[in-house]
Amino acid sequence: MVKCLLLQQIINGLSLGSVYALIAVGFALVFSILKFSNFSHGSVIMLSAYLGLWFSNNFNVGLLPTLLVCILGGGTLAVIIEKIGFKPIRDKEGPLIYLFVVSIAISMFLQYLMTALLGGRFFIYKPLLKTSAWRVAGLTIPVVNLAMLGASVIALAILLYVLYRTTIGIAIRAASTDLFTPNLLGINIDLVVSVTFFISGALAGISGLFLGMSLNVYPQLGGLVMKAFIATVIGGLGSLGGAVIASFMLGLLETMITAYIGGAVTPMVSFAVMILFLLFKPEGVAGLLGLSSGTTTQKL
Amino acid sequence: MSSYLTSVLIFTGINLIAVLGMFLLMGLTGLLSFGQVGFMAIGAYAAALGYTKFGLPFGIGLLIGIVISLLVGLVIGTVTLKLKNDYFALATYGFSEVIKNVLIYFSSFTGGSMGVFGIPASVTLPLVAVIFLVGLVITRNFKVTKLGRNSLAIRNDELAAQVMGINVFKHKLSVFLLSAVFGSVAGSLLAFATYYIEPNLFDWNRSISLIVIVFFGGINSLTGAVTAGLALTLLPEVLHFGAEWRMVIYTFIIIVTMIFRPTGLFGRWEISGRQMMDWFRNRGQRSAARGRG
Amino acid sequence: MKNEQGTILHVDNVTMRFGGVVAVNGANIRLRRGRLAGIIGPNGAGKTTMFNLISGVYTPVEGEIRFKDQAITGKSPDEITHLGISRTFQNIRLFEGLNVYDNVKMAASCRSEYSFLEAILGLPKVWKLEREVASEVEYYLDLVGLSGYEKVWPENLAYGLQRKLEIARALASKPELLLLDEPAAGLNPTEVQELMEIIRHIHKELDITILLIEHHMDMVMSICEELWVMNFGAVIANGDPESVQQDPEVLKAYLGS
Ligand SMILES: Nc1ncnc2c1ncn2[C@@H]1O[C@H](COP(=O)(O)OP(=O)(O)O)[C@@H](O)[C@H]1O
Ligand SMILES: [Mg+2]
Repeated sequence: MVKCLLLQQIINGLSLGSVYALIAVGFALVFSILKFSNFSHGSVIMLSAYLGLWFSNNFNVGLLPTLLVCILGGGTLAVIIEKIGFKPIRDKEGPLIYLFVVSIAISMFLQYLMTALLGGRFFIYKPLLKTSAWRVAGLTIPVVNLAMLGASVIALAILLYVLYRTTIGIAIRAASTDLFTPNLLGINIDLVVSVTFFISGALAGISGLFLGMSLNVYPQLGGLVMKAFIATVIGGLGSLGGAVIASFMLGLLETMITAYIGGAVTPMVSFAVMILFLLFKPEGVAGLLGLSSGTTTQKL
Repeated sequence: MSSYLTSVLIFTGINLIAVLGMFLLMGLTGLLSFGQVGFMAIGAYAAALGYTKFGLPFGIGLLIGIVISLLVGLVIGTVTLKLKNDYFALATYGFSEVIKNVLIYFSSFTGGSMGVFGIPASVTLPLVAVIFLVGLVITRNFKVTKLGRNSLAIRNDELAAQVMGINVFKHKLSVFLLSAVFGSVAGSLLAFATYYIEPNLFDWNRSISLIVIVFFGGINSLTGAVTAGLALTLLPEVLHFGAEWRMVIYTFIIIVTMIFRPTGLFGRWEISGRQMMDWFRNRGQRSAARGRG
Repeated sequence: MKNEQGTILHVDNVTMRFGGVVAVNGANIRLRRGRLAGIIGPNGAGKTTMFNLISGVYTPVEGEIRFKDQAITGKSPDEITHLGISRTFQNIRLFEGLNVYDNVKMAASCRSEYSFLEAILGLPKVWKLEREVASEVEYYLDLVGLSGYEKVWPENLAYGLQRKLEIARALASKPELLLLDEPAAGLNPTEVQELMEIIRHIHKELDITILLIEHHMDMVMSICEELWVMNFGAVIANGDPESVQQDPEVLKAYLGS
């Protein structure tokens, strides 16, 4: 029984980790290029969740069409945010901290706008999946989480393909070492940035849909981006591989602490781990595993 | 004066004291911190619990809050000030979340998320005004002496500042502690301006409000920070906005400011004693001329 | 009181690496007190890195640096500045949040003997020391010909004036050894001429040691009393300008590269 409980916790931890991973990769992607923590990522997640809800209820469609809409919607929204909020500051060569402040302001703005317009209410997705959980040998495996894990893996595989096999992907990787190298290759930097935001937003769209399905939809849904931030730091600034591994570690850690010590200390422990990494191992998990030499996505 | 107006002014004054701390830290020194509310919470709880648990008068509670804030600030500052930009910001966010959670967790002493009741609302407008003025003079002295120049140099180019002889870490730590004191005092006053405090009073939204005010008024201008603090605290009150719409407007303001005028409304402009004298003198001359003419 | 005999700066077998790049390779410099000396060498030779090592921006991986017979290897830049070394930067690094006057005042007042607490309380002592510093600032601004520009923001200054402001700022921290990293870079011939006069004047008037990095050969040849030539991180020649100019190693380095 104890063993079973532990196994259940591990499953829960990995599910949580897969949520974090999907958010963290989108977050890390922007960080790797523009070198700032983009908290507006959270509002793209939140708005995508509303979008998916509206779309699936209004048109009475299933999971896949909704997923597609969330991907396109999330990507477009992220590009719009970049054009309105970040590009003017980038053009003026304002300090990085301004981008960070604006990203927080945008995420708060959208969060409060939704609260003011719709109230703090929770909205519930109609069931998009046939079964909500599988029970195997006394263990409960939530199907949403499995779907999310599956979607994360597929999305990350596609991302890898794009980053390593397409011209724009190679430009994005070049830009992560130095934003202006694509220029030398004759590729427009704004295009690289836009594509990066679109991919990042698309990942946020996927996260938004699945988070909405498992946690319901409310204005603060995007707050989970804080966990992605922590995972990105622990993973090693801007390393996608590190972010994924750290997300699963964080998911497991948090689940275990919540189960065996108590939920109240969980956020403190996560923050403490992050600060320890920042102080003593700023290259993060990626550095520990020799994944990447620092701030680039060169190696995954 | 109506009691409603008095209480609005008291809260505005308290907010302005917190703004002064944020101005020193984020405005002049460039340290974006979400930790100020953590120190406000320490100040508020020290004063409140000092009274409800030990019967200590407000002044003693305020001092205890300052001492605890300094000690905690020393530890937190030593750890977090080695971090850069976003990481410092988020680490200080972690700090204020920890404070909040500690206050919720040790509920038998702190009252947990229910908060502390039965604090006498004994803070008066003159008291707030005097403390604010003292804070204003301190902040102004900071800005016009080597402390202000060192802060601006560090904000602008940390390496060059160090090469020109500034012990960057020590300076940042001193500013961090001074602003912790401002936060703590504002918190203690807040506790004794209401009958009741709870951990959620000291959340992320309050940090955001302080940041918005400093960026809106201008990171270089004390005049701007104070004016923005007055305007952004009084306006929503006067216009009776709900909390949500207030935050919508705040965050909208900061987005527009950062995009179109990142140095804030006031830029580098400061009101100075001499300018005011000149202005009055000119007016005097003009009216004298009119009188003659 | 000029002590021509004393060596103010020892750089002993100093090596600095960045990843695989050896920026400075076992370099030796002995700089006598009171000299106006120069470091020359092709781009990427390691000259700026040498300045960064002396001023404490980097710590050498090997070797030792001594200033006034005191080891400064591993000391932080601010400690080294307080010991009496000040510098300018190859790519100008003025404080844009401070105007011309305050840029210099920052450096001049850094050592002002009032504490944090005294400053925020605004004790009379603070204002007295501030006034004293103010007259120093005027002196240094005048020395480089920037009087009248006090209220201007550094980013609005002409390029040549920005270079001069950096020199004034470096002087304001009252160094015994002044390091100038390519002070004439980007200046037109008249400005170069003017700058040479200023450097000579500062050297005489303030009685300090100056070490400068320069590309303008005619400037180096006419104002420096001693030269070090660097190439690929190593010091390949040292001596007075005439002998260095004829050194076969130096000719090879300059013509070969
Ligand atoms: N911070 C650094 N990181 C990596 N390489 C550096 C760094 N600083 C200097 N270098 C390298 O060291 C070498 C010497 O540079 P530098 O000292 O600037 O040369 P110089 O001033 O003589 O032109 C160059 O190859 C340069 O690329
Ligand atoms: Mg150089």
